[in-house]
Amino acid sequence: MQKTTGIHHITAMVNDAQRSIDFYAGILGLRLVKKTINFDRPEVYHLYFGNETGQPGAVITFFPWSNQLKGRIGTGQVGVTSFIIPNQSIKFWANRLKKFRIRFIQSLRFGEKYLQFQDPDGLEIELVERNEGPKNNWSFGEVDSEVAIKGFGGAILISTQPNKTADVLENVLGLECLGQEASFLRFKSDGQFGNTIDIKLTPSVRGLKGAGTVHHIAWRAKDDQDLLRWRTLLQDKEYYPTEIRDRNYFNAVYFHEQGGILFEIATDPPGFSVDEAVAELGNKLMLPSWLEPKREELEEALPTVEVRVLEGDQS
Amino acid sequence: MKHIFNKGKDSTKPTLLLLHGTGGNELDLLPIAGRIDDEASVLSVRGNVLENGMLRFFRRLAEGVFDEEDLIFRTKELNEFLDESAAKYNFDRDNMIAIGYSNGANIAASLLFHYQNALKGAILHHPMVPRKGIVLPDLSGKSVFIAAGKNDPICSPMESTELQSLFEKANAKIEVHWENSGHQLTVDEVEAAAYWYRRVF
Repeated sequence: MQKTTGIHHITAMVNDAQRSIDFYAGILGLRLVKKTINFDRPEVYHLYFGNETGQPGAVITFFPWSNQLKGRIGTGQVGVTSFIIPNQSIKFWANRLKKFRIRFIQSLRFGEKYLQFQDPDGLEIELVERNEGPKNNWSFGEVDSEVAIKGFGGAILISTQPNKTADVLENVLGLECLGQEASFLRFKSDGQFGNTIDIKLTPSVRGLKGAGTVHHIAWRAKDDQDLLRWRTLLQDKEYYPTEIRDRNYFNAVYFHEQGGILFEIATDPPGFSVDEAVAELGNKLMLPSWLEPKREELEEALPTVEVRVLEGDQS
Repeated sequence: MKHIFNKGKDSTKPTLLLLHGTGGNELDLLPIAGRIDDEASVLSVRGNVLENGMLRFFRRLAEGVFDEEDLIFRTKELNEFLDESAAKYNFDRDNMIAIGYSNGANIAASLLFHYQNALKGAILHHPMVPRKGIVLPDLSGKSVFIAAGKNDPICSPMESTELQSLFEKANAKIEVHWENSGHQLTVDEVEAAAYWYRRVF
């Protein structure tokens, strides 16, 4: 059976580019691996944050658009995005969140301790200690690679029909069901990160798309051939996937699973070094070739943003 | 706005307003108008917005994430264009039925959401809820046909059901036709729309 190794990326909507950069790069210490634009709305950035190389399974992306109305987290959405931090680093992170006055709670799920908090737009984020996955060699501010976020741990899905969503995870994406604990059903894939998906079983309000909500979650395909096989499988199972779309750094198909969540399947290659050297990732505004002639005009229209070390975080 | 106007044989028939989907143009739905009513006048409009080289009726950021400000502006623009066209081509402005697919269905729904007398009725193929949280005008006397796909990857069944109930609350008469397929415009749903049209108008 065809299996995904886990999450490829997660894309969310926010209101302000600099505020998101300060949070995800400045506080969480992720690397801005790509600064590009929304291909459908070139005056809106598309920012990608990840580990040092922006590996699939470690990348959260944002459309920062000030005009976007506030959304509401609820059914038909990814409710919570989890990141993995190295073992023994939870204390560092709790202190760091305190330092930046970010309120968090500690909770326990499937025997793992989570730090849960919100980003400035209200996205639900959590950190969990795990041994899995390679160390992230990126360091920023006081976040050195001993404590740096390695990649996604997974996500909590809030479905309109949890049983149907469970069915897609198990019988289409090939995840293994590990069982239920309290109000969560847990699934696991074989990847080193981005591999633990929980479905929330208790009722939630209906989600509304908008700022502070996840737009879609993408799952990994090995390559273009693999993606074609996924697309055929989705067609056979009557999920009516979209045609294959070129997203510059990967190719992708989209479909709504029956619980209302927008799923994408995206290829690992070519990756973020297709147009920038790994050492240079995220430094420059990258444009698709057909928008390159409009670079000056676009740079003028986009707000100026920078990755910066936040006050009180000099190391 | 770029458009085609074909005067029909019978001027007492409603004028059919055709609104194409993303990436289409004003020629797309002409064959469908023929199937619905081949004696009616047809006004087919081209979307004014370019997204990635594709024509649309209003802007969006991502799938299902509309630019509300632009939607409101474009809806007004289209409504005014309908007023002008009625004067120019001398058709009855109060007797207009929209036929829209996808993005075109969304702007047709938006006309009904924002203007009490923009349309007498509408055939909406795979529409979404164009705006959330607003009070609709009283749509008594208006009839709307919705064709939805149970497996539509763009527009979930929940969305179609929500649109239906919003129209119902505004007193419009609604009929929903469900297809097992996805986002495509199927022959079956066009035939169901034609059957509905003959019964209602």
